[in-house]
Amino acid sequence: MNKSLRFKLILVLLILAGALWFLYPTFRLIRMGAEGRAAMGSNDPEGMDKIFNKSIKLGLDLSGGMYIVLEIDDSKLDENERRDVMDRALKVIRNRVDQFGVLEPDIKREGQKRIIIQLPGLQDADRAKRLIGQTAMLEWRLIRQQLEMKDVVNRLDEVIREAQGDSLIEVPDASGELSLGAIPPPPAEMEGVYADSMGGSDTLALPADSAAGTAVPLQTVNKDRPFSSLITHFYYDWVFVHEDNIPRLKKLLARPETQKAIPQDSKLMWLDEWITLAEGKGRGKHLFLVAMDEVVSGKNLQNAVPQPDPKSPNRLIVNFQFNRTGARELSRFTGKNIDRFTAIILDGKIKSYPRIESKIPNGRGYIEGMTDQEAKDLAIVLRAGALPADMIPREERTVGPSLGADSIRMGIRAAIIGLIVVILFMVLYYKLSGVVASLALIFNLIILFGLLAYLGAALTLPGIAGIILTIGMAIDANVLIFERIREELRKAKTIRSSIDAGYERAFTTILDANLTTLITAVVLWQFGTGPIKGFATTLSIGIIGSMFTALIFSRLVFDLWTRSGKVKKLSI
Amino acid sequence: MQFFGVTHLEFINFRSKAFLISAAIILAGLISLAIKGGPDLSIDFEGGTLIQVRFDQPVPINDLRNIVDQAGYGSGHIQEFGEVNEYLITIEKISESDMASTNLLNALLRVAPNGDWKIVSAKELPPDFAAQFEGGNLIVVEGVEIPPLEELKTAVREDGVSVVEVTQDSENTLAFNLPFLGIEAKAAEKLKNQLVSAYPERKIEVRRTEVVGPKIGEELKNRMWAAIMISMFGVLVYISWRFEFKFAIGAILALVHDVLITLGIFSIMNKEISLVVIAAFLTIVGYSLNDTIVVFDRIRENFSLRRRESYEKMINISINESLSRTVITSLTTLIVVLFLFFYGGEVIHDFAFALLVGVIVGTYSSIFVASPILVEWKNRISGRRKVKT
Repeated sequence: MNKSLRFKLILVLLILAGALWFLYPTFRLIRMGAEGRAAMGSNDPEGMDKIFNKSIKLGLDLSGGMYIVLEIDDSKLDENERRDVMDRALKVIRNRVDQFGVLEPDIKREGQKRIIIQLPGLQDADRAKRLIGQTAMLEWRLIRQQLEMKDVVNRLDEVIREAQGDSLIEVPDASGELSLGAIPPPPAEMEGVYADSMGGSDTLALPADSAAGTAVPLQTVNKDRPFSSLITHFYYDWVFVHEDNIPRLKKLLARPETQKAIPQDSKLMWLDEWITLAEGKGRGKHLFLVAMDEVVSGKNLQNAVPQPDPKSPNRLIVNFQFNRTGARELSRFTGKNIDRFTAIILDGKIKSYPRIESKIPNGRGYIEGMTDQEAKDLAIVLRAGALPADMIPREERTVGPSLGADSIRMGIRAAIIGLIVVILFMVLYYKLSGVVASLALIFNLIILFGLLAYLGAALTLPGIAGIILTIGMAIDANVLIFERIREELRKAKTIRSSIDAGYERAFTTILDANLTTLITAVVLWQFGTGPIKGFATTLSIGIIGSMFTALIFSRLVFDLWTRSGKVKKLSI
Repeated sequence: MQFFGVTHLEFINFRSKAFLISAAIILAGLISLAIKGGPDLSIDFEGGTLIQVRFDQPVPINDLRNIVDQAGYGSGHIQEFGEVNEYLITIEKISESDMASTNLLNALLRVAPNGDWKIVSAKELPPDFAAQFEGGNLIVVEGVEIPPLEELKTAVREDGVSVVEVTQDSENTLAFNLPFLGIEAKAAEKLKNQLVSAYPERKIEVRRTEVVGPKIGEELKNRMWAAIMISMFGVLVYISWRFEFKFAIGAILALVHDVLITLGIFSIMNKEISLVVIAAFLTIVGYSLNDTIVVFDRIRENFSLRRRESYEKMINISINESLSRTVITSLTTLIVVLFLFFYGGEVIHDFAFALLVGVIVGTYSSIFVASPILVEWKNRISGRRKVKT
């Protein structure tokens, strides 16, 4: 065997071995099955990670999962904040996703303002969206006292009355009237003692007594009192509004003159939870007058954990803990405002409204009024920290796991049938040489998959299409060579010189044809996103692989085959 | 086995007929495109919402139509997808601010007809929780004879357009702050809920949802144009370098020919151009190039071997010599693309269809378009220049 032949043989064997080596983790992963994977994941998570990282990854369209593009809205930030907003946002989102427990999440920035999040195998897309996109800004503010609230309500009545004059703008329709009786019973949620959830007298609790508060008789909209007549009930420092009246009240509050009637340092805010009335009388919401001049912000939060609600053990609340700075702030705030009600506000929504019973020196509190899932997620986002800016979702794609599985099944079927038919055709048309071409094709596929695993590139549905296309097109290089060899043989040249001439002549053609195709594939890779990138990847590797297998591998086989000179007739 | 031995088919003499056939097909496509106002772009480029749902048993498509209408998406498009009880619902995005400004303009023209109102700008404002601002549309309008702001605002509100705030920017311009209409932002979720409540006893599986903002779509459109242009340019440079400039022109014209025909057929068949279809187009470009280059390569080789033959004859011989390879490669590629088309699944059906058309057209064009253009170029341009000098 001459030197160059030996060199080629070694090269081919090395590449084959390398490709198989890269493919080994994928083989293992497939052989393990779902149970094996789960077992190993719990016994040897590091080893599992290693196998995963070295295996062929499936794109979201095959594995199922979610792809979101978020854009940072930095319009409200100043220069300084804007500088590191991206890094902070990425960190917060990574933290949240890590705690969410998705295998192999991929979070990366794109350009100046965008973050791309890919969560493979995700089941509950809506929950993930909430978890990732929530700003999670926690605030602790004071609720204005009854007298101030009444004052504002009276003033609102006045300005609306004036604005409307005799012609009521908001004409109440008869169907909107309420007939709950003079005084509705206090909401069920307000009954019973609110137990101390934190175990210790330093925490906040709501009063047990629900009889306090001034009742405002419920009526139809009254021309003289257009605002207050929509209010169902006065409790302590706030009012209760029945569900049916809420839209109308909101409309009134949206008017500019009503906005002016509310003091600058205060704001009317709704409770973020429905309060159910007894005896099937429907439900409603509390409306608070919240002081805007003082705040304990949640940026000094240290920890947050979901825990059973002591007053109804079936539900979860979120207990949170401030760090020392935050605890000092809270201690000052609570010490000054004993017996007042406070609002715990998350992302501009009142989550709970405890009364301060005593000074809180240890920086603890809780948030209530949500489902268990929400409580768990809220604890996660609070622990991970607030996002430095709001996030606008720009793009969102989810693929259910069953669709992904279908796509894999169909893609593999199409690929296998295509492969078999192409091989049959080649063997029929080129006889033994067709077998060589088929071997080259299979070799090409091994290289393709091996490189996919090595590069960590995700296999997508268009990627599978790219492989199928490669099966059809990769054969081209061999066809070019075989046709040339046939031509040379027709000129009655010897087998050896026909093969040599065939390869030599076909070489520039193969090079030019494949390089031009490669240009478009690389451009596609550069400009494409997600699935399209997967397609460009497999197509590019397929093209390069086909050049190698045709020019080096199949040549090697021909050389070994005809080396002895005993072959009298080339099977082509 | 051998399909073709040595052939002597007259491809070059056939060229005027071939050009005519190509022109007719392209023209048909262009007419269809003109009638339909351009290619039918999918939500990937236009922005919008797509949901693929599967029921445990078939549902009358008219019922689905009603549900989608009731959810407020009258423009929604419903089609059966693959299996009988699987459906694809697409809602193209009407821009939030477009819709809001249209509403506002109509209201203004009704309540203050003398205003001669015009929209100056419209943009979406993101929500701000801290300020308890739920987000909205900021629309700046221009008008003459502006009535007192409060009066105007009240009138517009009474006309049915909710206005959060109006401020006067300058003498003639007003800035309207309208709340978000929220028509599409939650379309996917809303539709899902509507379907579930309409069929409480059925098992409904949401297999796929896609929500694309119009901004992303617009960017993607630009990116894809750039991709097509850059790859064309790259090919032009490469072929000019390896061959001659006129070869590059021939190849590029053949590519444009292939893509135009495929695009036209997509338009005629009312098929949408999605992101993956564009990928298929670029693949067609690559494939057709591959084919064309093989013939060109033969021409280049024969150029030095057969100097005595006429240009036309030499090109014809080159096409004939590479014919066997062209047909076999097209055949193997066509085989796999056919399997992809029939068995690859509904999701890449259009992709496979584009490839199917592309492979056939690409093979045709490398024989009947690209090489004959060399002859035409030689006869008309290079030839004429020779006469002059």
